[in-house]
Amino acid sequence: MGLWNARMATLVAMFCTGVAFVAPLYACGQSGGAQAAEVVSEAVKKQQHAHVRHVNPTAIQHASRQAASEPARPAAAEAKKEPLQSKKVEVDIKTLETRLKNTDAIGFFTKLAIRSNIIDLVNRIKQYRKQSMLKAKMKEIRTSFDGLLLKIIALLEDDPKLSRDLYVSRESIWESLLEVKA
Amino acid sequence: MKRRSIWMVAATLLSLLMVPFIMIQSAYAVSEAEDIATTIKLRNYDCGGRAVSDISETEDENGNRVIQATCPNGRRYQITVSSDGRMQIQPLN
Repeated sequence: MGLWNARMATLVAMFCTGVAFVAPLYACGQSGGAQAAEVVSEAVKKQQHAHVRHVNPTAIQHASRQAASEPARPAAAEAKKEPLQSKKVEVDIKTLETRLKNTDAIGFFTKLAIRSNIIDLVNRIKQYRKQSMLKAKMKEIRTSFDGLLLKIIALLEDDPKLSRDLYVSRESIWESLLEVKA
Repeated sequence: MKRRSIWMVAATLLSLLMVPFIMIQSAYAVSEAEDIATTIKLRNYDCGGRAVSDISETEDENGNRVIQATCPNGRRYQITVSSDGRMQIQPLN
């Protein structure tokens, strides 16, 4: 009887400890999975937000200049600082490419889809270059590039280091895409 | 008998210590169903959920990999992966 009670106590302890371990992990996995699955729509939303942020500062600056001339200056200075900071980052694109290929955060088909999207973008650049329309279409292509990069960054939620490195080196990636010739 | 119960407790504790490692590994792995759903969304198609179902995979005469899957919203898609790795997605319904 004593042994039976001991076994029961062990089983109960095992169950409780198991639940204690599994519950937060399951919750984490659920939220992580759900977020990974909704990444595209979130990325699009983020892009739209980024767009709004991109457009709004001019209007905000204009309004603030009308109200008071001083607050507009720091905002303009910050806007000037940001592109400078992103241009400073020197990265090895090949290393980033290899890391993206080897990451476990996204699956095989997702990697192929990303590759296809990048090839499509490069083909568009080549096509516009041939038609001498590249300068005119630069803003449109850059928007597509930013959207794609945001999607990739959102997908790499489980590989935050790679996600961050891709984000900080976005200007270098953009430049390397433009360098691709026919 | 006492030695046997000590051994049982030790084995239980050891297996419990393994639980977080096993769970962490499974929590971050991407399933094929999730991978295909993400792919469909990445190519700007509506899927309505995080994982597809009813996956079938074949290879056509040109060596292209053809995958068909159904999204949670009921839409069925065909994903064609060519031998050079290019991907095309076609809605089937």
